[in-house]
Amino acid sequence: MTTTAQTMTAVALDGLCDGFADSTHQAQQVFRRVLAAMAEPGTVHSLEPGNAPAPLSSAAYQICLALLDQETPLWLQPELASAAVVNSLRFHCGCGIAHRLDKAAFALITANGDCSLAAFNQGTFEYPDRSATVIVEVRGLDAERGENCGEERSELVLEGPGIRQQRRVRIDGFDAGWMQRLADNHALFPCGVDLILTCGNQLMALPRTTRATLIGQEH
Amino acid sequence: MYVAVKGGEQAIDAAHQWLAERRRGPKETGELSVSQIRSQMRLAVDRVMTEGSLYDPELAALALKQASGDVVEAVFLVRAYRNTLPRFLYTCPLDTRTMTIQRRISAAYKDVPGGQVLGPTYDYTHRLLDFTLMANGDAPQGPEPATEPLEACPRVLEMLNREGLIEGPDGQTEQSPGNQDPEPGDITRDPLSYPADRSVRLQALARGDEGFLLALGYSTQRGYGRNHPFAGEIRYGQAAVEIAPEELGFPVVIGDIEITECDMINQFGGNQTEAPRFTRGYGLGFGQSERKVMAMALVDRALRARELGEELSTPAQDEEFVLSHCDNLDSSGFVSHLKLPHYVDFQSELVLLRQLRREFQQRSEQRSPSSGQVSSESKQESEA
Amino acid sequence: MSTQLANSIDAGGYNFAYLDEQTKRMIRRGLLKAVAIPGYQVPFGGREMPLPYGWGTGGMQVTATVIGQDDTLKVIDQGADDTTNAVSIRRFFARTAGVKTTELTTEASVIQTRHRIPETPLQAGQILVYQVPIPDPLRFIEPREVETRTMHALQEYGVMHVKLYEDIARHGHIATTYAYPVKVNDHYVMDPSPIPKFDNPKMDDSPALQLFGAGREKRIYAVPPFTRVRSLDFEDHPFEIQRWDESCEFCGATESFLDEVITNDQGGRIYVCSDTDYCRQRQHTTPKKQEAYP
Repeated sequence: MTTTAQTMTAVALDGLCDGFADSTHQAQQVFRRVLAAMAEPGTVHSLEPGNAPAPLSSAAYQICLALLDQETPLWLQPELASAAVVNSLRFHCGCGIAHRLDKAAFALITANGDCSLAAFNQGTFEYPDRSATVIVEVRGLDAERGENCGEERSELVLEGPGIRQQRRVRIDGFDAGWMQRLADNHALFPCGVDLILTCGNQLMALPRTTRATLIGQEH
Repeated sequence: MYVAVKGGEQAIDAAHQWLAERRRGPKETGELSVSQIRSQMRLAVDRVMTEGSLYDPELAALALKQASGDVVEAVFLVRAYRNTLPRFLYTCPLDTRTMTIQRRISAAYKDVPGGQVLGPTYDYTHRLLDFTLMANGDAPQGPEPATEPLEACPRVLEMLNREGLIEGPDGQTEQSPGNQDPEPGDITRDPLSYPADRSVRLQALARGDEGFLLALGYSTQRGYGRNHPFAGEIRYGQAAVEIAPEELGFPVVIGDIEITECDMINQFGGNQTEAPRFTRGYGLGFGQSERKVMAMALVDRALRARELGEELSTPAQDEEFVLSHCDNLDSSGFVSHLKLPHYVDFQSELVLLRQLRREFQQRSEQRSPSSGQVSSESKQESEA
Repeated sequence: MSTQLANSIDAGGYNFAYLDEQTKRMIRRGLLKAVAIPGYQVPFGGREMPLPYGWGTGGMQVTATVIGQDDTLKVIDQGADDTTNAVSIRRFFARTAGVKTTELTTEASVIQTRHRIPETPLQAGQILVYQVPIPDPLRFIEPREVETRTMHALQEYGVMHVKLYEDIARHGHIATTYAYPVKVNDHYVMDPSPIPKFDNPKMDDSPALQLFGAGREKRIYAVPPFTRVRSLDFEDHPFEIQRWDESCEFCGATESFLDEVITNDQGGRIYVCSDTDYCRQRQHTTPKKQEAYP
């Protein structure tokens, strides 16, 4: 069959940010770090520094470039849905923007938004894999160090698959409300969403299997 | 002295080299060209295109040459190649009403508008080996074929539909031309899940193995899910392929492909609230693939049993059974994988089997100390 | 599509590691879900590979999806690096991805395997990719996907225990010796692929990430590191692994999985390690068999 390569019409898109210079290898490298993060919840992984359309972090942007395409509707919290973000992701990933939370395969939210995790697709008992993956922009991430961090940093104890006994992490911006959301989400297993937390060029994952408690409140 | 088997790499290379020689055959015979295969083995080419799910007669012919004529192997080559091609666009649905007809028959009516057109068919040949083909390769010249292929002729089932005697193509009872078909599924992107909708079933059947579908279709004729088929229409010819790029806003033709289409008229249904009407089964394939599309239409109809409220009792009606076993890449791959080494698993079985036999013997000896012999055919069973 | 399309096409016209980027993204998304739901079989749009179904296409798709330029790949079949299928798959990746390959378990970052887990304990950061023929452990009890999917959803695993117990009633032992079902993270019952049950304990609490690919059946699943993997058993019939009275002819190993080799038609046989790399390392570092077993 005769086919012609899609010719990109040169349209000036508002705030368009570069994609990967070498999509094959950069996407692979980003994926491997996300995979390592998902496999060992609470571990912090750094991506190569790179540009991102404001207000997205570089890590969140790179994860989108690596994983999204026309098959993955994306829901954006309004604060993140700048023209630059929407245009860049549409152009590089070809992903559609979901207008309903429960229709999204991926979502981009911020930790200080009041977005309920339960509003996203939770999957079903037959197909729990169909649930959403939620990328949460946080103000800071730390794994098992940084004792003298700011007071508002919550120190968490994590347990579950991928964690040998326990892992301690600090997540800047996770308040009591978030702890409740994590607990509710975990209780839905095998359903529930999976979280990827991002900050700057760093990321950490909290899949649905991870049980999180605030230090001092465990048991 | 035992030495572990080594040199897998050299063995593979040597095997491939030998294979290449055997494929070529003796040098005294002429090399078969791809264009010869394409033009003189066209029905094999058509089958490879249909089951290979790629319309490209030249590549299908190449695959047949490379596979030494093994159709299933050629299908595999084409599928593996197809899988590496990027997708640029989806075409518009084919409109077979406007196709150029080379052959078109209906077994339901003596004559139909547009006429019965026999076209190039083996149907009424006497199956006598033609030794002149062996002598000089030239078939005796027959009468001049009709010069002009028939222009678009109406579908037989549409005429029935106009009278309300048969359900619509999508199984709807009311003829609703404005009705948009739902977006079809795509098993090459999303794995099959059950229950599968009809578009997905038809896609699987179109790619499915002709022999498997033929046997299943045949079984429905012999009573295993009988549904009283009539070959409403079988047509073969060229259909235009159109694309409708968003920036253009209208469809453009990018080329013609040869297809065969089969509309089967089947057993009528109906109840207190719905007037009885015929049901239908559908088959479509690339090139001239009549046996395949007829079998496909029979199986398509059989698989609609649930939707039509029929009792599910036969293999051809069993959606999961049919769809999960119709692909010959799946089946030939998994059967042939038994050739791979399994000695770790076999060793595991040996260890257990010897232990079980030892214990069996001990038990027998305890039961009858005098005759401690255990025959070699002692009833030991183990999981395969 | 646009920029995501035409990168890293090699001289042969195929993309890095053969699969196109869209397919890789689809499998990558599936792998992340598989890791997030340990032991659950994620359906994925499996692609035709240039090797037949049943010959490792699932494992190959997973490997092609995770592997990068900096990886070192090891491929084993029946524990051995030099069996024809292992050679063929290793060559495929050397050709299509240009990655470094190795036979050393300790040197590999990605190991693709058929039917064995290496004897040398795996380390954190390593990825073990299993080739899987029939991913559903319930398939031999209930052939219908429609049924088994519901059974997994409801954790209705009683039939599996019944089947194992029938073995005990008949033979005095559980008669499953390979592809021995396990329960992952106390939730899903999972098929560990046709590894001998000898290897099952290695899956439990492993520091490595374990990924499973079934190409023909179009399923992927995973066991994250440090995850509980328990072989199904009964209190009065606890799970146990195979043992041999013999030792490896080459390295004298008594703790490894041994292959039986028939040496003549008079019943002569010897035993050798199925894991060729493990055996070779031992031959370099340990005294000969005779000295080890006076």
